[in-house]
Amino acid sequence: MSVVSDIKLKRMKIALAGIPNVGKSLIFNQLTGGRAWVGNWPGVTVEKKVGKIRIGDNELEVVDLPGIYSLTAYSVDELVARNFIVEERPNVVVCILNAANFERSLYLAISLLELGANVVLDLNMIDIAKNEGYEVDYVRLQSILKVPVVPTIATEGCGIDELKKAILSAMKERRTYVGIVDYGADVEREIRRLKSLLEELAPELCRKYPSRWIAVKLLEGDEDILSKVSKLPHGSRMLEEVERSKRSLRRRVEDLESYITECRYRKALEIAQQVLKRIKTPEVTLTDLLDFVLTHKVLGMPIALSIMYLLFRFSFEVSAPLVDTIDIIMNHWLHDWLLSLPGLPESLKSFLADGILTGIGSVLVFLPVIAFFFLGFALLEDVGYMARIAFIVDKIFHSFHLPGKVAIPLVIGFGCNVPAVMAARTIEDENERKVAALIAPLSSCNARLPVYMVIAGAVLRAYAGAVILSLYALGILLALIVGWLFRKIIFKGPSTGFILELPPYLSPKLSNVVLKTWERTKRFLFKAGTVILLGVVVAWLLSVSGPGGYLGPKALEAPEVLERSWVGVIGHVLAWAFAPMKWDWRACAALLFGFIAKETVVGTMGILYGVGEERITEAIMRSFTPLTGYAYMAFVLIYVPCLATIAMIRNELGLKYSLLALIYEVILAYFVALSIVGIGHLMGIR
Amino acid sequence: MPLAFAHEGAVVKVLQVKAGRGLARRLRELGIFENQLLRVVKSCGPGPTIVEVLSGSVPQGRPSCVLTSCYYHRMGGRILLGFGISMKILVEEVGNQ
Repeated sequence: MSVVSDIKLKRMKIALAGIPNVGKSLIFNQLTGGRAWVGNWPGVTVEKKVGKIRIGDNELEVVDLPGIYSLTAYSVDELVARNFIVEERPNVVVCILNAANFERSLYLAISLLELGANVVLDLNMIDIAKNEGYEVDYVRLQSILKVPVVPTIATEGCGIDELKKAILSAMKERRTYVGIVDYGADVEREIRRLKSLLEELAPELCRKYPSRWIAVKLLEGDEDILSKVSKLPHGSRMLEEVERSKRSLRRRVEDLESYITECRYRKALEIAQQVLKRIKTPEVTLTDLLDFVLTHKVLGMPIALSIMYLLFRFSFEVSAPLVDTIDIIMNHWLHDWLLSLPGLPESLKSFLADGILTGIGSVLVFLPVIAFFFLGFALLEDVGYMARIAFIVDKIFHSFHLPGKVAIPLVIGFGCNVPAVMAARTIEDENERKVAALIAPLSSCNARLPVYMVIAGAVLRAYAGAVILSLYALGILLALIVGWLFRKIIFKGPSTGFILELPPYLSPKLSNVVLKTWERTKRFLFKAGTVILLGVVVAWLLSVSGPGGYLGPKALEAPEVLERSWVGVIGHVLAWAFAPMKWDWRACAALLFGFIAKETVVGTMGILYGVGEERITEAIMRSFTPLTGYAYMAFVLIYVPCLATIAMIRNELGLKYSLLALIYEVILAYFVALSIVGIGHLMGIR
Repeated sequence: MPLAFAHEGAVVKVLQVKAGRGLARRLRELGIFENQLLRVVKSCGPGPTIVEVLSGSVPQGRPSCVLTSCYYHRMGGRILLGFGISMKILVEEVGNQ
């Protein structure tokens, strides 16, 4: 190969497109050796991801796109995909077909071919199709569509090398099939007329897209193309001609837009009939059996709650020995060893042992709990249960004017609120999407768990497990109520409902589950090493200095000295604001640091309440009653999850809404904590 | 009758989709449009539904009792339709399993 064509190849872009949950990210990972997240539910990928692929000596850019059903975007994540394919015109589009969901995949492939994309078809999931009783004759498919077709089983890595070869040869030889769909004589006549007009009046646009495609899209009423044409010099004339075509067709075709999509769909059905071969009669599948129970009218909900409960028990119980081990190592051995080091100045020793080690240690203790939670969570994701939750809760959510799909960001939020806010993108209706992003932070994330465990463990002891679960339930309940209020007051509008294609149940892949658990746990570790570290360093510095100057490490040993530090001053001001709740000033100061990230609350408490877990527990028992402790945990649940989540809301919805989230959460947190204390007192609980 | 009221296990024919433009288009792309056959896999009557799209339309003059999934190829994955949407799709029951 010549040097020139090598350089050209390096600049080439390859896009991975396909209907949702077809395994795009999995194929992306296998092509690039990357680690994009995969999961068995539609909407795992909501943003495009870029990776590099090596084929021979060539390094090419591969872009993994969110799932789409057609080139007409319906939700925000789909818009990302459509814009990339339509605007950036990648050199090769690998369209991934789901052999077990063939007709819908084919519909998308046909849309891509009409656009004149240089398509390579990857026929994935042939193993699942076989289980369901049919085969796809890919050789025949190749001859019908006139583009290369490569069968693959992405989960096992079968056919990936062949796919790479097909991509490479497609780069050298471009094949397109714009006229794949026949829209019938009448419509075709108008398409031809518009096509020649376009070539005459809008030559620039015709250089970018096939003129036939533009003509079809104009007749179909595609907003994006209509606005593009209207901006052209002869735009208004062109649009008049489109209207004329529509008028002349109105006599024969009732609704042109649906007629066009149906033609395309029938073409997909026709091709499917030619290439699908039934190899055995369908049997009752595992998916049928599981769905019979898991989405049962009556049993569905209790089963979902039990699964969630099991997930939490699993992460608490299995991790318990590891938690103790880390506690002993970090908070006893290492701490004592640091303090016993000869030759180090006292203040440095205190900074390392009482500041950094205690602060980070009190958070890291919970690492095993969080890791096991993520493990269980990844299992649920891979099996395909997540999408079912949307069905189970839809009826309840509907009475709060929210679609059941909101359950997906809320459940993801149990892990971390940042991806939860992003997951709201898959919600089609704009108002509902905004509400989902705003209430997602009320879902209790893993960062709050250490706070619950420390406080509930100290003051509620035997009831700790039940109390922690009640906080998760409280989060969801508040999310529904706040969501309902938002829908009533700010984001009014009818509920449009939602559509979600359910994935089949699959047995989880161990490597995938382990990888995902590790990636998420790593993020927690990374946070401990950066944001939380920073938080506890600041907390320590503010503890050993005060308005009166440097106090020295003795502040952390003598409470009366600590009260004169900056933390003491801040804590007392906050304690005044939280007077009705009767929280200790140290706990109030910890809340301030919790703005950065919730784990910092525990880290700061570790520093302020002294060293080691036992002493934290005792100190907390002294300063909280069960009632004030519960109110404190509720406050931690509700007030701003972390800066990263607020930043993500700003990213998704803009500054205005991130401020709205910040304000409503703090007010709601205060109100709920106050109500808990108030109601508790009325009931005579202390 | 809205799809939300259809019985579990019923095979229904879509009569009308009373949805806005974007929603109607999405449903068409999934194979749900007039005269298409759906099998109601799950229904929270009235509530959200899970349906399967059956390929082919109702054969003229065939008795409805032969409308079992053996005669019709089930197309692709199951689709979950929220309560709101299930109310917007009007169907008639043409058979039962």
